Amino acid sequence: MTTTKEISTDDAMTQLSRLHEWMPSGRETVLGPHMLALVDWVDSKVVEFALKAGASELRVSRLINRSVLERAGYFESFPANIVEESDGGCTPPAACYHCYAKLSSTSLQEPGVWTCMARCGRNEHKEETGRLQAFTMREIVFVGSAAWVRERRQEWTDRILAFAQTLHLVVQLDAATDSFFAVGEARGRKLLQQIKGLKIELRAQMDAKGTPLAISSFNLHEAFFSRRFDFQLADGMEAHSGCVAFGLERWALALALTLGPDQAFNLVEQEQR
Amino acid sequence: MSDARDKLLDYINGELLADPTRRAAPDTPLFEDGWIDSLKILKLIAYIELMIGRNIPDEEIVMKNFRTVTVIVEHFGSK
Repeated sequence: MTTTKEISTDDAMTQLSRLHEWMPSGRETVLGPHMLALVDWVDSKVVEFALKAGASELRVSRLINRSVLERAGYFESFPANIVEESDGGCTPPAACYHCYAKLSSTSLQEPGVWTCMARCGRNEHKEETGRLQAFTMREIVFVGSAAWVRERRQEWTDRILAFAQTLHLVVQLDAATDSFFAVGEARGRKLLQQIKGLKIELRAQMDAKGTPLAISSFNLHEAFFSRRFDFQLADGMEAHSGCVAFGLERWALALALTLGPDQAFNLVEQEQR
Repeated sequence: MSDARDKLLDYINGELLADPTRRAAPDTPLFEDGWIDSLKILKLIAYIELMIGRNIPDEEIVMKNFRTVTVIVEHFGSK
């Protein structure tokens, strides 16, 4: 396994830029071939974990129907984030909405785990290293009883924290405390989420001056999506759901900034040998 | 302390829950079994803010400060 060498995140960012591997361009960021390979490498590791955990992989479409996001309550919580395309389609703000749409009006014979990846988009207003408008998200979704879902979330939190530490990332687990710009009931939902610890984030330090940025999140939805999308467990019990999300470009950037580009890119090359 | 606790319990049982089948005691977990929903949490926070005479910053709105009425009163005290 890699050994860390001392490199400042600022120096690493300068190197990435000089190598044309991380090129901010207006509201977008263009990734070079080594960074793209690193994104794919992180994804392949997560898929490996997911398949070992019994996940079924879903291939999802590029756009998501606006009606799915309406049903999921996304417009109530984050109306400004949506990237609308033509013909009632939107760039998905997260990959997992495709899963809930797939589960709509079903009755599950047993608890289930799914994984999917999507190119996502959000109208992000905050400028921060690693916070992209267009990004790739891998998610693992699990549906079952409340206790089962809670156990899966704990397992995934432990598994991914250990994975990040093995890679020498400097990370911390924190309860999400998004700024509560939402008003009315949406603010209430966010406060409840915070009190109940429904969203835990794995955060990595991206640069010397910024606050650590979430590279993954571990989420419990209780019965929110099963009620919205009308899916339940076969024994008549209410289905709960949870998900684990990976911002793949953020993972790749955290690796490149922490290890330095050479060592980070070497992770991929070692695999290919 | 017990004045503040009784006042908060009265508010939760009388106005917030307003459900004769659900009576919170000082140590009842408030955030299990859907007792408090997304509207009730806003009302509860507004009531506690009035009770203590200050705004509660978002960072303080976490389970360890809100688990039960006893915990809320211990953490936030009263005006």
